[in-house]
Amino acid sequence: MRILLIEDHPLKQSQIYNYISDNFSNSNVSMRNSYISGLKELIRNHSNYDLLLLDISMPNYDISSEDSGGDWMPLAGKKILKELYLRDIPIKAIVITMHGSFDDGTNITDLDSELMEEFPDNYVGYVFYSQINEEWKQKLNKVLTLLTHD
Amino acid sequence: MNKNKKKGKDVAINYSRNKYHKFQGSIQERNEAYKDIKKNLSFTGLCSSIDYLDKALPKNRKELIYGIALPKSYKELGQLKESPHLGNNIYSEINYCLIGIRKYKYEINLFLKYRDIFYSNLLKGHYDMAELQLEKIEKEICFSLWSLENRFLLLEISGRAPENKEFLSKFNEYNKSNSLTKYLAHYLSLRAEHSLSINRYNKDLENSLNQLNSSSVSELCKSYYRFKLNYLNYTNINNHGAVISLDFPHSIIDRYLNISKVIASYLLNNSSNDDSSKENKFIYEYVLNRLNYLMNKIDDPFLLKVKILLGSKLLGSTKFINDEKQIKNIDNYTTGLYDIVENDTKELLLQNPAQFDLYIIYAKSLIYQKKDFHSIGEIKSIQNEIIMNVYKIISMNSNPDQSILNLLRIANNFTSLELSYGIIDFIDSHTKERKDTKVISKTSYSISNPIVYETFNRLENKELYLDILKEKYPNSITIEFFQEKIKVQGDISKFEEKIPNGKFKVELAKKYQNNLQLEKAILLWNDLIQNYSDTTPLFETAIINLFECYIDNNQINEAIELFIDSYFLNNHIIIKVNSKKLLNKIGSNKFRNVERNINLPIFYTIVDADEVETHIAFELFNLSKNAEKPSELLVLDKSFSAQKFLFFLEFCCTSKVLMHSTFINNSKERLEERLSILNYIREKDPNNKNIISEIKSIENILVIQQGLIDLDESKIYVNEQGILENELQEFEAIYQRFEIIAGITSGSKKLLFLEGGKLTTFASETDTKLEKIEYSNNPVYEIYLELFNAVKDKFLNSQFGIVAYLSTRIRHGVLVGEIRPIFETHKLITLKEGQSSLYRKNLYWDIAYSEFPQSIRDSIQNILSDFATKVDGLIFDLIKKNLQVYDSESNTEGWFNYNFDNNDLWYHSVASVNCRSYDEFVNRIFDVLWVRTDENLEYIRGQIQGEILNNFNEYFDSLELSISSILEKDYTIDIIKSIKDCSTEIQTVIQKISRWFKRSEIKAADFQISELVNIIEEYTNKSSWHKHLNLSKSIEDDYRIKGEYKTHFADLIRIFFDNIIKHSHESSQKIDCNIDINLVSDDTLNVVISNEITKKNLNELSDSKWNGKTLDTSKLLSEGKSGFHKAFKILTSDLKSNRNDCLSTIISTDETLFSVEIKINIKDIKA
Repeated sequence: MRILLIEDHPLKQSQIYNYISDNFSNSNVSMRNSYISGLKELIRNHSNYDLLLLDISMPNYDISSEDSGGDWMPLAGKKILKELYLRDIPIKAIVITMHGSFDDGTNITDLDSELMEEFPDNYVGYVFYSQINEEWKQKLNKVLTLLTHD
Repeated sequence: MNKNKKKGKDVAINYSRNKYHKFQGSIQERNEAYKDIKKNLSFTGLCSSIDYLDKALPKNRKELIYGIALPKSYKELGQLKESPHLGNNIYSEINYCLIGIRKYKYEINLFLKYRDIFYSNLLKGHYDMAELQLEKIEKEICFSLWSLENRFLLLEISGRAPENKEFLSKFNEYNKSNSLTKYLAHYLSLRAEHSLSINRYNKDLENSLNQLNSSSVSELCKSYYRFKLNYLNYTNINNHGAVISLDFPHSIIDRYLNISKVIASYLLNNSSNDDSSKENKFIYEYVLNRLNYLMNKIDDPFLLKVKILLGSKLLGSTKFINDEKQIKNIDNYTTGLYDIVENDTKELLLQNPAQFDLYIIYAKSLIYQKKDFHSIGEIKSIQNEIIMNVYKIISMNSNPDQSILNLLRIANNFTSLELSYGIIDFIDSHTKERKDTKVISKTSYSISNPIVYETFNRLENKELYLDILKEKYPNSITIEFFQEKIKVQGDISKFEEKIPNGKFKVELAKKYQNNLQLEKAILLWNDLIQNYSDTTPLFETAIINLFECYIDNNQINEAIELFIDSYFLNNHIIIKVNSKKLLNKIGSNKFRNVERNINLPIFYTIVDADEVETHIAFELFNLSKNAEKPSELLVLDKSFSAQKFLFFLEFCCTSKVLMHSTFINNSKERLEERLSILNYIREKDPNNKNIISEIKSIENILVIQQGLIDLDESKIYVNEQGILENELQEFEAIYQRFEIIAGITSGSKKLLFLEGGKLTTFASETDTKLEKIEYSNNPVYEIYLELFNAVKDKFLNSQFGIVAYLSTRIRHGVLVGEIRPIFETHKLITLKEGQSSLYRKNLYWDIAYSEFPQSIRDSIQNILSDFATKVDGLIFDLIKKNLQVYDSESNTEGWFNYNFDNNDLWYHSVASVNCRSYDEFVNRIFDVLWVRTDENLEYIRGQIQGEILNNFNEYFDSLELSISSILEKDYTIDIIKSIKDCSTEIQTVIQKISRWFKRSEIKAADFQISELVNIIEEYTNKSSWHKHLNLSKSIEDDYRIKGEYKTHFADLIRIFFDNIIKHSHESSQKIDCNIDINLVSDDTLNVVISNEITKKNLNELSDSKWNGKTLDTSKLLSEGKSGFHKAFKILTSDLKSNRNDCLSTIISTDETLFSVEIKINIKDIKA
């Protein structure tokens, strides 16, 4: 399975990457670190991927020594899903977040319902990531296994 | 009286009689007894019971029956000796309040008559008469919250605003109530302020309400406050019972006004339809019954209007007021006799200044005659202010925003008058998002105005209402016309000759539109647009409806074109166009159904659509012209309408839209793209001030961003030239020896030198035998080693060495300034208490968890304090141990390791033999040291990204676990969010910090001093989340300086800016300071940085002074009270200024101002 992971948190990114690599031998995970780098990859190369793993909050641009990443986008993941919808990009997407609520006051369960309703062709569901427990691994495993069999 | 009634009455009296001892008992018993009868008796029973108690009880036991119904002064207002129970049962609270109204109905009816006269005078600008009337009300009836509020209002409106506050102050002094009265008085005074914006008022009120705790009683009080103080936003409330109950301490006038509004709100916002629960139906019917009761006692047109507006069966049984004159006026308006309407309405307005529909009719009569606004009566009156703003909004000749704000303010001032409901509804109907008409707004209309029919939702109510009016006014053409209009098969053609042609066409087109005869409707609307562009109401209606027709007829591009063309004709005419439907249609078709021309992004921009959709519209247009970025369109400008193209560039190609472009890769590119667009616009429109200011702002941001990058990239630095010229002269002789010995030993010749020049001594006085002399195996290497160590020492520890710059640019507050504010912003750590190691209480979370038991709150504080200790400990160790030079004895945790292997050095010594000069020799050693430095830096980057980041992550995990272990999941959401947000930011900043540890090959460009000051101001403020510099700059001589001095200048200014923050008082959030830069002689630039002294501690003040003229190198290599030394070193060593007068400090004689004066010789550093 070819997976694109859009995630800015290095630790979370490496843990997800390692988990998938260790448990899904046929998978190939590519990573992007910001809204624009992720969106650009999706627009240009979406056919190279079977699945999108998507964080919700991230910086506008990749952070580098020359750029602090621009504006912080609390709901960047939601905007990426909207772009996918409007651009007719059919990739399946799983939101993988460590936040129970977001800056605009939405909580993850409300966001889940909202995304399911607005982007049913792309959005599959969400995994709640946490560094202090491993439940996310089980949930991710379940969703990935399901998608692999599909 | 029938038998049952009498029996019921007896039972109620007996009920009270049995509790008589309690009414006579303690305050608490009495309170309970009143609560009991209020709760358990029906209204009839309550009447009998209260009548009995009123007669039987002594006066001092009856306060809880009627309260202080008619206060004779403001002192008495709200001043109950006994506090009643707070109830929230709508039946019992209404009943109990009605008991008082039943007793004081005469006073209330009189009040209502007097009140109308008062408001009439107030609105018309007859302030003296209004004041007399107010006095009359206070004297003949009573003092009340109502009269208090209107005193404030009168003072404000009549131009005596300061007296409002004086009056409030006097009231607070005089009134001794312990109820909510004074709190209300405060906000009533604010609400009356004629210069206060409604937003400000609402914000202040809501802030105060949000600070109330979240108990159930607080919620009841909040409902009450909102109802009393912000009714326009809270017409639909909960807790109706409590709103009545809490008003008991006020006068009977206040209680009547309050309950009539509560009843109206309840009935107009609820219904007894089939979907309602049984209980809701019952409550509704009961409240309706109470409205009827009230109407029997009180002759108030407001109650009558409420009843009519409820529709249904009530309509048929309601007596309408005879209002021939008003109907005649409306008929004249319908038939287009606008000149007559203008005159008659003027008269009517002066008679009924609180009737809002007249304001609309008057304004429209002027607009249809194409007349300008004419005032009526007193020119400077609220009435004329309302007319003028209504006129401006309807005529759309100018931006209506200010008029809307003016009307909102007036409505807020006059919340206690129904006129305000009409104003709010009018504004709602003229702003973009049309809200449903609030039924209550029509209480500000004449109830005989046939247009009220629109308020009813059900057709039968509309018909019934118009039928009743028709019966009363059989000749009214307006009523007849409306009756025909609402008929499904109605034929309005018979009115073609009776009403103005434009209006007739509007009605006909609407009819076609409603019947989905869209083609016909489109023709007619287009006809209206062609012929009535000078009659705004018709023109606007035509645009709104044609737009709708186009959408319904799937003519998407025509709809957009109409919208854009109308917008460019009159920016305000499209405000009421409902664009949502079109946006949904385009969105659901994923833009496939729309032309990708310039109108598309302009439309999305004007309607302020979702930002992703707006960007897609923007991108589709760009791509249709083969442009990835809008700047590529600039060469095609001739192919677009100039007006549209400039609009597109200015308003569509904004940073907010560009942030979604995948053709732009970073913030700098985005700013540069916007800048190139702005420069184009400036060329075409040189007087556009917004553009000029945006250009300035972006240029400034770009300079600051580059400056910050330069600073980040130049943290690792050694001034090699400085070392060579100033620190190593004494070693030149040793180098010469090295040269000689290397020359001698170049062949096979061997020299005998004592190893390392080592000396020896006797073992004791008696044991004087010396050990065998050891000769060096490699004297060249030994001399090399001596020189190498000397250069290394200077490379590391001299004033030009790596440690001094490391100390200034990283360790001296910079690293802490990057990391700690993030934790502080997310409220995870606090400052330490003074010099102690204890952390201050984290008030944010203590307040957030104030409802929890003290033990839990203490645990949270302990966990946070433990977390802060770990975080600060990690930062401390990083600075004091890790980012230091490794020493096998004193600091084994240092990461700058300059211990060399002997074999390596031997190799270097051999290589150095070929050096042709001392400088070359030293530079070769520098090279060796730089290679090692690079290795160290790589290691440090790894350590920071690895060990340090892992430590932080462990602390975050541990904090999250600890918090989760003491709080249930639902209560941890906010604090866990803070932890996660903080963690995410820390990941980023740690990456950034790790990047400091590399050598930069980039040379900073030359710079203006003013630019650098801006950069450092930004830098300092970013490093301090709780204190900010409020810097005023006076830079008379803004020289351009060579880029190589940029970081030295930056270090210098940062040290002083940091000092201002560091030495200011803890409570100072904005610290006023100045920087003055001017040339005092040919080459001497004088820089004075001064700040107000906010922390007056004499010891600290004297510590802040710089008295030295000599350099303490140890202060350069360490941190803590070393800023002046570092600055002195920069001035004297890096900037080569005169050490005698380059730095001085001054404290003003009154000890209010601290200044640092710097003199810099700029002769050699000017670009």
